Amino acid sequence: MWAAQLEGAARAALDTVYDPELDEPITDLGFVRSLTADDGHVTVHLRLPTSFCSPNFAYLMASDSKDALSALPGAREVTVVLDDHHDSDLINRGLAADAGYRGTFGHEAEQDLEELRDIFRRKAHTAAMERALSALLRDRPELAEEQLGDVVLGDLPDTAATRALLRRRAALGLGTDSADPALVDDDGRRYPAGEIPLRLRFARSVRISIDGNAHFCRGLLRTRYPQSGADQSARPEEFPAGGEPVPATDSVKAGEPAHAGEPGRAGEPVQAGEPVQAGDLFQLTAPPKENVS
Amino acid sequence: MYSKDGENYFIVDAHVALWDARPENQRNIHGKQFIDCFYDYHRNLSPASELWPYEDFLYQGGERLMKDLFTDGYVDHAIFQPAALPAFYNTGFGQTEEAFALTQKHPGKLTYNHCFDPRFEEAGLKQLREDAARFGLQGVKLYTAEWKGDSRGYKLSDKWTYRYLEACQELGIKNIHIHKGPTIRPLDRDAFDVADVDAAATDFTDLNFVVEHCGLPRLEDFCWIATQEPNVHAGLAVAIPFMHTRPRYFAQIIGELLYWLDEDRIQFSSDYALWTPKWIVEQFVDFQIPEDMTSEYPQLTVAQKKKILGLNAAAMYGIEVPAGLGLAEPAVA
Repeated sequence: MWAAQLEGAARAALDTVYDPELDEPITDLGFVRSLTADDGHVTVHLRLPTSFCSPNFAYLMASDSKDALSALPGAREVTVVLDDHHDSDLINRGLAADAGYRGTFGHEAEQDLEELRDIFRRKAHTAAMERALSALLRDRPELAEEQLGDVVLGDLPDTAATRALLRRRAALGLGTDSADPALVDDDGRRYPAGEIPLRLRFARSVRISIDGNAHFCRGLLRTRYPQSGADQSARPEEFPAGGEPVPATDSVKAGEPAHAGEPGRAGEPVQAGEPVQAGDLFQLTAPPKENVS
Repeated sequence: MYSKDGENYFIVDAHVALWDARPENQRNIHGKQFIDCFYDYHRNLSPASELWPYEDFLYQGGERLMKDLFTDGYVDHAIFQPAALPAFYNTGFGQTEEAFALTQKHPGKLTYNHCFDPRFEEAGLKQLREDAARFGLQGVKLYTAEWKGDSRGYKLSDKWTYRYLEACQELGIKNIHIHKGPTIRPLDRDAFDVADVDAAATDFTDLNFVVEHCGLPRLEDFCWIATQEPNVHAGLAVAIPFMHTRPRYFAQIIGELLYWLDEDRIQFSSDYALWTPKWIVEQFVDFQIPEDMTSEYPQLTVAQKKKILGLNAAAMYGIEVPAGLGLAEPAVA
């Protein structure tokens, strides 16, 4: 394979590697510092927003990168290096030796990182569900929140927000049939009608949290590596009223007001009506404890 | 005290530090990485006029701290919340002796909270009793991602942490400030998860649990437990500076906190020396939920701002509020 072809294939492979916490490809986040492909040798350097980003997530992204690149037909030798992290030595040794999670972290690792991945797949689904359903509420003012329990996937318009929801559902093993209910818990079950406004409210908190973290992490990366801004794509999860991603605006420099690229500016869900009371939580039949475990 | 538009605000900065991260105190590369991470937070979220040179950021000393907080920063009372980090710094990150001496030199201005690490087991418990007597502790700061030997974190729900919390009950240390960090054992789990705070808050209902950074980066998990546990509070360290660069995100944070908790359980802190209180106090008093977001979040009231900026922490720590600086009538929670 030609070097240029291999490099293109390698970049496409890295597009499939996600930061599980921010629910975005590491390429869009600017985490790929360099990529070279030469005579079947692929070398990638990764960079993160701080030295103290969680080592478990850092390892996941680095090892997922190595797996994705190693699967390329033209890649005979793959080297993935995590730069400037407090566990760089440990993780890079583990990657070079293909030691796996437990082999890399030794006594600090108990089983695997699958439960961690699952927690963030669930959060990503909850946030995508809130984006799609809040967009629907904006488009159809006659629709009351309580009626969202009757909305099925086929009722959602064909927008980026809906497609993103379908991807998250598939990742979680939930149904994607047009007759499947849209507002569901982590196991695909409908909520009792009385709980719907509060469940939507909590889903909004999840979405705000993920979006906020994504913006802060992107900003910190630009502060730490000033040239990294050019490598970052606009966060695709922020949809204006029409449901399509906003154009790239996330190019502000540290210390400058970041209004243009901040969450909410381009299409924050606006909910009308009386706010749901947090105290109603105690009447819920099954608190979503999985969100805090 | 800060005055604006005929209103007077009593200011308690509930999370400040007197640290020493200069190269001669760095034990290893992690000492440099840690302060560099803090400095990037400072650079990323500060207004341009408030940016410090790197050298100033490494160490401030007591005199500068007093000026930044009390002379320039409108602060009436500040509370030290030290992180020890002995694995990164020779004499620790938070400077215990210097901070405590400053507290004694300026009576009524400063409260010194200390820290403990439950992995010191019996020896640490004995030390906690001595520290409680020496410093007159009302509170402790716990950094759950602290590195110690081959362990790089602990949970509030660990057996030994419970022994320490029982000692806190006995010693009158009623305010437990928790700061989550990136490492924990095992690494299989989410280190920022606050489920262990939920467990401890349920089992120690007479202690206050102040979660610093209001649980960020897990705001939603924090809100969920704080709604159910009345003794869980939100510290605004790191969250409140977003007001400058990302006011709409800050509106969402404060809006969510006021919805899921209430206005009595949110505390202002500058997280000095990460940021200085002057600009944060000024901007927070002026802060308004953006007009187009007021259907989601009610506008902040003056009474809410007074509680958050000082009255809530003053009530928690028994700090006397001068006449005229409290609320004319207690707001209905």
